[in-house]
Amino acid sequence: MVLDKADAENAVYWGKQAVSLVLGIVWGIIPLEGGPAMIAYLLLVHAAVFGYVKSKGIGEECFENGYSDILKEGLMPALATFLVAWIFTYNLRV
Amino acid sequence: LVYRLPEYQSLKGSVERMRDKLEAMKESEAAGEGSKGKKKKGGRLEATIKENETLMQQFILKSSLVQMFCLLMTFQGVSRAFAGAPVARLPFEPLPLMRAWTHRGLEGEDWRECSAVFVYSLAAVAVPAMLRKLLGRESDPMQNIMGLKQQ
Repeated sequence: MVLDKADAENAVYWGKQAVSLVLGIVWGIIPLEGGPAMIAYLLLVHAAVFGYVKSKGIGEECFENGYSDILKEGLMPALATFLVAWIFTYNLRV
Repeated sequence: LVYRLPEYQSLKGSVERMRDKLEAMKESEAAGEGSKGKKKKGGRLEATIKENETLMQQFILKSSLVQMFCLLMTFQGVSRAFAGAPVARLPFEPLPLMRAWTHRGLEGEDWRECSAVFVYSLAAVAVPAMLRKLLGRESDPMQNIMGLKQQ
């Protein structure tokens, strides 16, 4: 599948947001705590988005700098969404 | 107030048209159809695009300054309203570098207590970025002015 740059970036951005929100809620409900939980989130979110991109057949040429753009695109907003969801659900339990 | 002004709209329209022309010129150059005259024209077009973008940024600067002022006032208000009171408990121990931010205005050494300022900052990063994407604005105008990201 060949998408233009903007569509590929949007797919990665919204994918990261959705996964971050879900993981934040799940991490808060279990609850998972500490640095390992954060590292697990970072690994899972990128694995999920990368897996999605591969499964849809979105080629490396759709990104400006290849697949490394998947790491950078929307990382800070996704991390913020994850932290807000995680802290909120964690405090609902506590 | 800013983005719907006719001057801004006409600048934006002319920049988009010139960019399309420049793209077409570059494509024909790459296909080997370019001449010296076309290259000169392309150079002039790029200079005009840059001039128009600088004029657009003057409009964007006004709205960005108002945004920054509103954010600062809200930040101050939140800081004062919740001063001294932890609003949440963090599910992790923050790094020493982050403690000034997560524990701002709080007493004691229970670093997992979270101040309102931290939660507000996180929401301020997550929500505007999402809204900008939803409303079709590609990037933060302030970042464009600071040259951090191309629009």
